[in-house]
Amino acid sequence: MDSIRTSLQQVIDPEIGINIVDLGLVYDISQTDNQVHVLMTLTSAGCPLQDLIASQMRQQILQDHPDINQVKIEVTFDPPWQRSMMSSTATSLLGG
Amino acid sequence: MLRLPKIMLLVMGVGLLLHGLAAGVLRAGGPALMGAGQFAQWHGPIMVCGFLGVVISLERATALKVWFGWAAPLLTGVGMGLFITTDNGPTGALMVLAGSLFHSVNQGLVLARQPNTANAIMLLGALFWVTANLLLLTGYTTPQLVLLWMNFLLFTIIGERIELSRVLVPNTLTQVLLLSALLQLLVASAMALWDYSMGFHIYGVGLLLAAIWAWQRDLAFRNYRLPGLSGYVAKALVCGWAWCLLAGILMLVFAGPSAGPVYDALLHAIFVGFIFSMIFGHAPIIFPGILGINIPYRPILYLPLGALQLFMLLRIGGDILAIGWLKYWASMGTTVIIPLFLLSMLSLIISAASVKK
Repeated sequence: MDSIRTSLQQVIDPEIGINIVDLGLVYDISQTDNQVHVLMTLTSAGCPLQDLIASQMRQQILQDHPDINQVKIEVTFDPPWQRSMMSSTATSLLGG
Repeated sequence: MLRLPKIMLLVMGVGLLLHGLAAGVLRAGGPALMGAGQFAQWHGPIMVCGFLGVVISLERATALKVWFGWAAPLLTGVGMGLFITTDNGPTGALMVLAGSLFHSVNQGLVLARQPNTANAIMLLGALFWVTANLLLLTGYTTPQLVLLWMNFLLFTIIGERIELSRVLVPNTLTQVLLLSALLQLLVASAMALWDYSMGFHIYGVGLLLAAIWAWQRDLAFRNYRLPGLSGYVAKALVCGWAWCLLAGILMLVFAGPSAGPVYDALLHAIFVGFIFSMIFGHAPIIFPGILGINIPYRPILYLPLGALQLFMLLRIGGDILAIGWLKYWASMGTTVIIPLFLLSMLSLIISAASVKK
């Protein structure tokens, strides 16, 4: 799953300027044969970028992993995103 | 929802924007474009309820993904279209009111899905819009209602910025600052219904506090040095907050008349300087979100953003110093730059779509 996570680190939240993995938006990644399932959240339930971010994630995974032919993205708000979910890299970039 | 209906709703919003701009051109002393003589008096409501109402409710409906969510932009857009083409009949105004009610329901559902302060503030913003639309039907005038419409936009934007500021370390002092700003804006908009001048003075304090809060908490003030899209968005937002600060100062110093050059300066510092800087900044993010198309960022977007700032500074200067020709030409410049920005976005969308093929 680390290689999928590395791919998703290329997907940047355009307003925050930090990738979705370090922001803690990716909750879980699982793989069955050549299918990948990503469980993720967004910082905002009213954000219209959901489909666009999902499309960028799908594109990045398929591009980096020729053996994968299907990517399913599932968005949840349970548990709600919290600041403590960010990586130490993101936290230090955003001022502690 | 399929992409085509969303594109049609967006096109309807842009159509209303062009009508609103045509009304503005006529009011500024320019030619009557698009039959603007019939609807020039409704320049403000067309821009706020028509264009911004459609775009904001479309943005929320896109995120919500429930079938009735689309009623908000549809009713608002069709209603405003009817309002300006059928001699300002009540049917159109009632449809706009219904659209704003649906938008409030949508915002309420977002709050239920993710209960937090930011979503509560955006719901309040939606309710300000409903209140203004309702009072317009009962005979209140545009100058009396303008602060309620302003609150619709400000509370929506502030709510969205709070959402993003959750990535920063929480700070009690800035929370108090924000609460004070929102209370001032709320009280001022209510007071303007009875005492217009006092309402505007208090509103100016609210705008100053909101701008100071943003300076401390809005991510844009940290990100403006970033390269690429993130840096562009942040710079546009910083420009927007600078207009909020300037509008606050102008309202504190000059509030009073409900017509004329000073009134023009007070309103346009917020509705054009603040709001359109935010729109220019967010368009490269929101349009792809609504349309489902990746739009590549290009530094050429700084040209319309810079031109908007320049024309607006000249326009406000022309208003305050009573230099008629300066205000006129700067107004025309602002009017031209907005469709030019949309055209530049459209060219980026077309180039992105052709690369995809």
